Amino acid sequence: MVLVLGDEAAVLVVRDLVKRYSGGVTALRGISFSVEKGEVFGLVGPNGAGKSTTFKIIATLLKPSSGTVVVDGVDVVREPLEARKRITFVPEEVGGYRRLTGLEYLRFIISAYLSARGEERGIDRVVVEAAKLTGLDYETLASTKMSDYSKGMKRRVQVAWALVVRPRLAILDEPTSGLDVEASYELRRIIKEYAKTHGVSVLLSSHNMLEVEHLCDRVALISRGRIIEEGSPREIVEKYGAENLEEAYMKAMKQRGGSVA
Amino acid sequence: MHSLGMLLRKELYTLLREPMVRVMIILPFIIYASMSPFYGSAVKQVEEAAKLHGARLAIVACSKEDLNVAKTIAAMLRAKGVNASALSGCNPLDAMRRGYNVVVVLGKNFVQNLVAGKARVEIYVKGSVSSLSKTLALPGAALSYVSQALSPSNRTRVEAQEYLVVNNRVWSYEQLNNLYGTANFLTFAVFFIIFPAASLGATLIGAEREERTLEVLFSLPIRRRDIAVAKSVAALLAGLLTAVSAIAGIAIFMSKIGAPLRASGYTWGDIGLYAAAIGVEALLAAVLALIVGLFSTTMRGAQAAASIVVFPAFIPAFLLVTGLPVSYLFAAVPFTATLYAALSPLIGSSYTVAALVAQGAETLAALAVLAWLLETEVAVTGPETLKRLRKRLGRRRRGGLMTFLARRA
Ligand SMILES: Nc1ncnc2c1ncn2[C@@H]1O[C@H](COP(=O)(O)OP(=O)(O)O)[C@@H](O)[C@H]1O
Ligand SMILES: [Mg+2]
Repeated sequence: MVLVLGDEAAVLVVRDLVKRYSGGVTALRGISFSVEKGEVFGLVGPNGAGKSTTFKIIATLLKPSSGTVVVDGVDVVREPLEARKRITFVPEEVGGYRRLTGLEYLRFIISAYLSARGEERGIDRVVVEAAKLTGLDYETLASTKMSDYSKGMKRRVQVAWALVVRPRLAILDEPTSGLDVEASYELRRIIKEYAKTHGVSVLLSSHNMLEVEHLCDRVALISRGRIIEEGSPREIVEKYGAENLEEAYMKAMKQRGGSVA
Repeated sequence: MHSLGMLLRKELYTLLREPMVRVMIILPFIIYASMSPFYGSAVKQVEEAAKLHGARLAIVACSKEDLNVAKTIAAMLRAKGVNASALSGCNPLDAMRRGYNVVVVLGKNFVQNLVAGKARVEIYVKGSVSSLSKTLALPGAALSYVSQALSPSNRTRVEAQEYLVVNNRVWSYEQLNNLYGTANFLTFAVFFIIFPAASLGATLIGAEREERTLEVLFSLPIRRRDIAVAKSVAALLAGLLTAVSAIAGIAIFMSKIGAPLRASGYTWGDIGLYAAAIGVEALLAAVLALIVGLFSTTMRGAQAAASIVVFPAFIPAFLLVTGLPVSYLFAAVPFTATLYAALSPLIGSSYTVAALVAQGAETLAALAVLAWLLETEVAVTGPETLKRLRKRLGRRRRGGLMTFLARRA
């Protein structure tokens, strides 16, 4: 099934997504947005707004109560395995197998993607590319177990594989949280590069409005399971007559999002 | 003094709120309490056998003169409340066919030999697999009653050869006793793999959550079914290593204390079936552990839950002591395959094969449940759902001991 929007096929189409957890919490109350090829799309909103829930549904970890998600023409509920071939997902809480070195971890994940596409022969090359992209010392990657990595090191490893396997859509849940200034600057540069030169669409969340304004082509403001505003950062800033995205965010939340958490 | 109390309270919270520690505290109680009915019943069986309660005893003579002695012995035993009769004909199997389950055959020229202090008897006991401990106790009991009747002061020794007839096969006492010992060993050796396999399975799922790798793993283009199989098989293989180490260690230990493990009539086929049974049971334990592990947030929480869940796997093993039902239906009960395999020299291999087929199917079913659970979002939300469910049930468990200590400190 291929969903064509105008001339351009969107990489991700989310429509009327509703999620009620089995405990009774309604996390999403009808969310719709789409992400184009090569676009960096930001989901922005307070804690508990439903960002991670949205991401996990797209990544086939959770099932929606209703609504549809189509990635590169594949419905994630009906064909989860096909969808997973096209997506990478880096969760908010980064981890890594304690007993594996960073390089072993990268090889494991990269093999999973390339084997699924029948591209086993490229594994070595892609692992090297990922190792470079982490910005970490090769010796550390090759010989130190991930139990000894800092949170920042783990996140670099995660984001690296998520981009080098060149998915249609990379989902990064708060990719720069907990990183120092330099590391987050570098990470933003990499994300932009992969989106613009390699055509990887990126869906990310962030609490850093400065970051979102610089990095994202389009942004959706989400509050209490609903999207309350959508557009390019500049459009949103202008609409609220604000100085910058942060100010526009505060105004939007005050007017339409209930309270600011 | 006050700070010591505070410290003590902190340390106790740390210990007693840890699921694995709670299991460590409660498990010995569960083990001994659940073992007691089985061993109690076994002890009772042996006690009754020692009094020849419920036994039908025949004293069989091989000649006319000896028949009189046989009658005298029988009469004396009857006076002690034993259901005993004297028979002629010198044929123990014939006596068994006539309904006697304990048959004492007086040796040739019994009277002369008795006077010379060389009296000999042969004791045949008809037993069953479902009451092996009783079967093994009966010959000794019969011998002691007969010796007492012949020589109340115990001055004359009667030499006995003891045979046991089980499933229409005649075993010497030593053979069957060896087999019983080995079967017990083989059955309990299984514990060295069931618990490790369960614990390892739990580790593999608990670690994914603890190391925050589970969500990435489940978003990879890998079949969830393959994840279930890989984890189960890895737990099984590592479990087998612990079993090999444990069994080798025990074998050395037993040989050093002068009780080498004897094959006791096991063929290579029996040993192969036993190995297969161990594999199936360990795999089942691992899969069950993986299923319960899905609902734990930590590795040790998963291990604790797993050890509770696989604990009932031990119960069938106790049945060897009390009496194992030898039936194809019972062979379908999980964790009985190794029992039947351990007894195969006695009962043949068909029950083990049946148990392997049934329990193999159960293991595959459990694996299918695991694979299905991994497809659902329980894999991701399991612990959270459980936590919210607990809260909703209002089971705000505040440990009585904790509250007590908190008040005192
Ligand atoms: N497993 C779960 N079970 C029940 N409710 C959940 C679960 N996970 C998240 N929630 C709830 O769903 C809502 C949205 O959470 P989330 O998607 O994590 O928000 P965000 O990522 O925007 O901070 C919150 O109210 C949260 O408490
Ligand atoms: Mg979140």
